[in-house]
Amino acid sequence: MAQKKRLLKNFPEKVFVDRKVWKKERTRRILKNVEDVPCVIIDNVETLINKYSRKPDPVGEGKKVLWITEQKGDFVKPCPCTPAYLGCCYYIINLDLNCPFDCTYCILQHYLTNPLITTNVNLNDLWKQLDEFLDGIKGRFIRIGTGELADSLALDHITGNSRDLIAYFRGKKNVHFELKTKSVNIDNILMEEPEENIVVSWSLNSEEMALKTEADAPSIDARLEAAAKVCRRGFRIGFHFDPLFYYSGFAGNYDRVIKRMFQAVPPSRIAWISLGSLRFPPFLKRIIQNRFPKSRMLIEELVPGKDGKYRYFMPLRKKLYEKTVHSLRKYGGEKILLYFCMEGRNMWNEIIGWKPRGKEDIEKYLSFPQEMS
Amino acid sequence: MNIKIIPLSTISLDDIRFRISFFPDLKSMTDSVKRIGLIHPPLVCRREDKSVIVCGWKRIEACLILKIKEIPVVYSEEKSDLKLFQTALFENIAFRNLDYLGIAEAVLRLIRFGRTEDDVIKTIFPMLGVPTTYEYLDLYLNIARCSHDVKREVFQAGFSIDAARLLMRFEEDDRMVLARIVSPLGRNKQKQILEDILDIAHRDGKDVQHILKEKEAAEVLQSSTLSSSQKAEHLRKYLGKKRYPALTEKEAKFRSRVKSLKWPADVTIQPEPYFEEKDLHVSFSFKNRKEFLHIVKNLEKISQDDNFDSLIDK
Repeated sequence: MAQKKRLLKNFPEKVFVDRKVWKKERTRRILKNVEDVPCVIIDNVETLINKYSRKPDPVGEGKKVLWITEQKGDFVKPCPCTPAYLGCCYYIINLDLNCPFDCTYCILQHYLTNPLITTNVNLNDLWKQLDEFLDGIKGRFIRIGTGELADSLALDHITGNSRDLIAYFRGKKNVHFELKTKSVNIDNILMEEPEENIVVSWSLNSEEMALKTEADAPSIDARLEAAAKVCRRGFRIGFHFDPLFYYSGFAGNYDRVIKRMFQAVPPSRIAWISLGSLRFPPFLKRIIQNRFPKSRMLIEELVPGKDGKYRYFMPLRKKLYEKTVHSLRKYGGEKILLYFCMEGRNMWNEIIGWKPRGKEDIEKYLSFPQEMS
Repeated sequence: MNIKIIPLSTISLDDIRFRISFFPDLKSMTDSVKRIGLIHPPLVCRREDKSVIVCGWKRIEACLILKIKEIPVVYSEEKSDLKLFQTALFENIAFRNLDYLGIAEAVLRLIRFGRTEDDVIKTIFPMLGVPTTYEYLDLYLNIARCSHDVKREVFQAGFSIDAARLLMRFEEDDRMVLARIVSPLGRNKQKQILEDILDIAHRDGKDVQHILKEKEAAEVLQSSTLSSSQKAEHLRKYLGKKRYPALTEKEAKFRSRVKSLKWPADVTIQPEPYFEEKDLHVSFSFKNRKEFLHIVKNLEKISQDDNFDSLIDK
């Protein structure tokens, strides 16, 4: 228990349970893991969400509570990417929503109308949907993960979702399943047998920017230590340098973290590394300024991109990628699959040295990450 | 409630506790009263032996302009300021959309008269079409608490709510200065100046006065030859350069390369917005084959210039 508290301070301060799922076995399992936390059964979720939305800091307040409910719509969706840039045919599973970490740049501050940290317990529906989905993509090799609208492992000591997901995807031939996290919540993963198509990934940043912009998330050293343990257990590891920040001294700072990354996880065990520079819709700027008025994250030259989202002015962005990729290659990542999140074909061509014709090309490129050695 | 005819002079114009519109357009109301008289009597109440206007400031001000001596008013016996104000507010919003200055005054008064902040967000904001969040409550309260002069400037300059929101992020002393500077510009440019100056102040750790006193800005603002709109436009460009130095440099280089190629004036050449892609866009118009061929020939000649490749990013 002491370790769990260290992982997530005192989350959750309160648990709300949708009456519809109150009696479900999975709900009971979760509640057992938070038995010392006050719990309230809720009949009307709208009232609950409205109550939190009216608080002075709905995003911050929502991070203190756990909402246990069921997903009414689709669990599985194509990653929406962004208009006018290249997607990568990633698929997302919206099992949990929101995240207890409070990253300054997080799109979820703006993206979701529900500020509560939400976990859905109707996993039987998820398995059915996944069966249908995987049936429908025969002939393709896809990547799918739970880390888009939530951190895949941050709540894992409470929900235990990772073990069920790994069990589901184990041995599936045409899919890579990815758990994407900033947490060090790996106890459940370490209890699982590794499998070639299961990738556990960490979001990384320079230590300086992690400290400044990733409140409540574990340090970079702690993340790398967790990655090393999961790697030693036999899983393949992914890394996501997203968002990369352009700032004075960025090259040296990212170089240091990349060097440490390869010390923690050998290149042969890395399935892929993604790169994405800071980007956000205009509305998020206001949220960041309100919630993090002292943040210097927005002081560089950020201009509207083709999708209307703010990005670093192209030459700065290019420099950011050039230096980062140089460090990745320098420390042993010559063969590792690198890919961009939300960049254009020219950036691929200039930095990776290959001009994909479309997202299907990228799907193929990422379909056969290095075999387990 | 009862209707009485009372001398206009007995109505207190100093007590503005119920007032939410401070910058009314009186012309149409004055014309209307002149033509057909005062059809709807204003609502007033008695407070400390004064007749205080609850609803109908515009009508009363029109009567004052027309030098009408006596007017009919509806007297309310209601003792609760909150209840009276709500009556006035609900009547107002039944007939017209309040602008954000009006909403700001209404929110401030509701809270002064005893409604809780949460209650205002929950029950009043939906009626006013305002998002039910504290962010908006804070915004409206900040606007309402601005000095009257700042509010007047914001009103007269036609600030959008987004520009007003940015203005609220400055100190009170700076608000007036900035509101005056940007007032001749259109809404987007007003917003751009405020945003750039906020970003520069935050990035460089300088206050607004310091930025406006820097040589180039001061020369613009103190110029005796530039009009106020020219000053605002020059300042906008100066701040843009300061906020986006790499972009400015790239734009300048591009312009100078185009110029060095003696690019024809009747052919437009544009990079992608913010140079996000390398493509360049050329456009021209022509009336006949001769004109078309003339332009194409000219462009072909330019393309053979040794410096032509300098236009294209490697």
